[in-house]
Amino acid sequence: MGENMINTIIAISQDWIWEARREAYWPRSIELYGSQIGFLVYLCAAIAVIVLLVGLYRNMRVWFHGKYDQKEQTLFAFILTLIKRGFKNIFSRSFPKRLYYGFGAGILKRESMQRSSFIVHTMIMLGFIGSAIATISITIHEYIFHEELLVGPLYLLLNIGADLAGVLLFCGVIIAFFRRFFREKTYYERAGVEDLALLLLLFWISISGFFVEAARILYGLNHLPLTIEGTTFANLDFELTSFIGYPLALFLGLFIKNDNMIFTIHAFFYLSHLMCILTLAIILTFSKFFHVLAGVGNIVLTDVDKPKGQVRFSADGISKIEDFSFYQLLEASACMKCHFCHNYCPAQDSGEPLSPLKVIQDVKNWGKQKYGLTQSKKNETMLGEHSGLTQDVLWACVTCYACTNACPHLIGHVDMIVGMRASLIEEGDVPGTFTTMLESVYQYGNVWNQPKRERTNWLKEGKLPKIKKSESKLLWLPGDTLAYDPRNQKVARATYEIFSKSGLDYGTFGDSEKNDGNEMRRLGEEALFQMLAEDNIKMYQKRDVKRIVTSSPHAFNTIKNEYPEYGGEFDVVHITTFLLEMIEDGRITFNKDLNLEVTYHDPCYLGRYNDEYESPRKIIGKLPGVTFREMPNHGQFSYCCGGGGGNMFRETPEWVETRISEKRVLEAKETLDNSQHSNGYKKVLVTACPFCTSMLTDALKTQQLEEEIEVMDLVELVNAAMDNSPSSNEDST
Amino acid sequence: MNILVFVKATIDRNAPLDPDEIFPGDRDDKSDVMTNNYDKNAIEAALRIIEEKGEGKVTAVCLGSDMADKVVKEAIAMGCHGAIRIENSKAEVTHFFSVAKILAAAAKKIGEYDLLLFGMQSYDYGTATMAPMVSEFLDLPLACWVEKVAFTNGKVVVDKVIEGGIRKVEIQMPAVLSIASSGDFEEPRYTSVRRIMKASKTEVPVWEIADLGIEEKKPSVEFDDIEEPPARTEKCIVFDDGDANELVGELIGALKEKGLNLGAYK
Repeated sequence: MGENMINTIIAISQDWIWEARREAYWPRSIELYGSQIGFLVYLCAAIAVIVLLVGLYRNMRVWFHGKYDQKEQTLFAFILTLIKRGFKNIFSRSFPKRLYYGFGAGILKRESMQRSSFIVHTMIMLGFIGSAIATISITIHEYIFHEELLVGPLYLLLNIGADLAGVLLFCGVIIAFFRRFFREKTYYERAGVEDLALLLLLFWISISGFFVEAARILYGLNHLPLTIEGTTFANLDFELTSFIGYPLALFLGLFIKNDNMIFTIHAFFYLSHLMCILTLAIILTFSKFFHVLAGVGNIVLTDVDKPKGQVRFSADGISKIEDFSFYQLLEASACMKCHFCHNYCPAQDSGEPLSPLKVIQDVKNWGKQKYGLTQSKKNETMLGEHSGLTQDVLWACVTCYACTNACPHLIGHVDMIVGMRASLIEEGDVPGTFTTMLESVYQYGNVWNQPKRERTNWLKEGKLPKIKKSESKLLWLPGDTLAYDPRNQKVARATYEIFSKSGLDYGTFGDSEKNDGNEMRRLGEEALFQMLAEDNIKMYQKRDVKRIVTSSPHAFNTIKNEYPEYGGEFDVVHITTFLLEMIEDGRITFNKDLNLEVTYHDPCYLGRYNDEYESPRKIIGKLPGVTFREMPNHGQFSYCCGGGGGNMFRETPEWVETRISEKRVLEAKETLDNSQHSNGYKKVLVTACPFCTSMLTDALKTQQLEEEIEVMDLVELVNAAMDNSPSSNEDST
Repeated sequence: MNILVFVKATIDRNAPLDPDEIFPGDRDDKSDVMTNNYDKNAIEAALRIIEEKGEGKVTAVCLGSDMADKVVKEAIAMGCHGAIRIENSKAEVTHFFSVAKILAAAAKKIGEYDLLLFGMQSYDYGTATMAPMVSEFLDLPLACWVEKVAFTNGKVVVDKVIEGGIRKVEIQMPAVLSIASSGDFEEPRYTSVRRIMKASKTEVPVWEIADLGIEEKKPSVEFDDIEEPPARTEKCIVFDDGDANELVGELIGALKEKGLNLGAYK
């Protein structure tokens, strides 16, 4: 019995497999609709293709007005460079990374509901690509191979693939629709007409595709036995591989008997299917759907290996479209308004007018305005009210990297914003507090407007060792803020005590230390940064520095990622990494319970920029008597303190109700609430950056939380835990 | 419109104090010298006027030794179209009266000007007398502590700060204005390091005092000496530990002990 069935199935399937043929009568039947319709269809197709090409041209026209790789390159030479670069990028070690992004896996960067977003996107993407491949291969099969390509197994494979793609597309679109307009209303509150139109088009494309298929099969079923290209079929069982189309045909067969009805149904769905595709082609270059082309282009061409902590912009600053690089304008076109950057931006969250999304869109729109189809308005300055890129927007950026980190399309928001700031700096349009700070750095080498000779005044007892006399050539850079800011001077003293207690051989530059330049570069003051970097590199090299420990993550970032551009390659670590090494080596031992309940704020320049999330947490884990609790926003999704990118020195504008730092301490308070330890445990918000310490301490004061929480640098905790000098003295004596 | 802005080189506020080196010309280290910050407001005013008018020229004039080169070049970096330094090597002319005479003579030599702008005072001595004196020597109308500048029918209308308010004055040009560090020109523009680098390559003409046609050979008043005040021996005592009422008593007791006249309080 079983054997018989298997034999039958094999027999049937053999027939299917080798005999299957697409019913070729159908495409010719377009003549049945009348030649006018045929002509109209071709006309519409031609128009759509022209619009698509024109739209593409418009976008590309803007890109090619950006800066080329080298100044003297001609357009043709640059296109060759691009092609070369594209191939080089694809066949390089970064290929898996590019494939990852190309597949839309950048969506996984979103913190909540990331997997479902990714699955829905993948469904739509595979469905769309699959359907497109099916349609194109049928066209090739008919017009180029005259019905001789997709025969037998190939045809069945196509059937299965096409229906699978259709199902994926259909389900993906339905889920996406519900997510946008019902379930995730808050997240997709900005989903508007554009989203609706695109989803409806895709929806109808998938639906009508099935109906066209079903009508074709139904016609065949009604005309059995059927002769296709000389082969006669007694049944159309092989069409079962169209696992949606075949049942749908049977279902339609219940109501529709005569051929004319079938033709009408087919005509309706076939034409509407075609029109939807043509509409999609028409709006492709004008909508967020353009990311399927520009996004892929960007993923292929962009430099994915660029260190995160390195800003790149045209040295002259960006004040007009021509100042952007080709790649930046391509990036702007690749933006599909997913709002990830907008939702992660702490400045936006605190009520600033800055939205990274809007910055990118403003750049894109300004480019399109200035370079239309034929007219070009060259060298028009774009910064100001007329483009939306105002000073308030640009100075509000805290360069926390949350936007670029969240972007699924590798768009460099921070680079663009910093570039535009550079042109404001060049013009002198700078808020007064920044002016004071920048002038102070130029004149005195520190951001705090203090004399050089007072740099080591924080040290009340003892003597700072000089790098000249140190044997290990281990350089400690306390940085400006540790040196001059009263709150952070405590951190400087704590570091000094740790180093002294552990008997470390190290050295400093004392009074002659200079600002590292990280903030200057983020403010767009490139020349000042260059000056500082060159001076510092010369100074480090002169003293033959072997290793650098920085107290500020900002200095760490710029020395690690940006000094190599100026010929200074140094082994640099942040103090947390260094302390962890010392703890693991046994050079630091803890002998005092701290009785603290702590949470940790990731400094942007340590975490997001340099991926150092673990060391501080490991140190906290090793501190005796410390309970650790994680805040909801941590790791790469950590919030900011609001002090990066020079914004430590910016006056809070009146439209900001709750500052970034205040939001962060409130989050910390909530995390540390409901203490497990009823008494004796102090609550501490730990961080590892002088700017964070300073900003968050201020925020505690303005939020009246001083009684409840304390902000401390990790170094202070380490010092406190290894305190207990009497016992250690006893040990040593 | 031609505007002359007079700028002064002063000792940097963060430079170490030394009674023997109170003039920029006495110093060896260029980083000890800075532009008088009130003069930056004047430069800002000049540049804004020119930008609004759309035509004209701003020339910075500075009396100083080669240490003042930095100041002159900073003025150019800020946006001044030209600059002139009047050589005052080793600070031979130091008194305000003589300086004013020299500046007035320099303005006469330049000849074409519609406005002469000064900072409201200098950072180091703060006499705020330069604008009035120059206006007197040149016999020009004067407005001090100007917050706002506008133009009507060839006249300049200024808002000047007076005690408890603002006074609007219409003045015939050419005129001498001293620009307040408040109001429209409160925040001088930032001068990027790139601009400073670029400006440092420009050549600034140097005039000699002798060429200005000033009759007196010697300055009418000479600077004699400056001395550091004797260091204080008194120490600051802070009463902050304890009950407020008792602390007040302690404080008064301490003051009486010092023999301070407490007026009606016995």
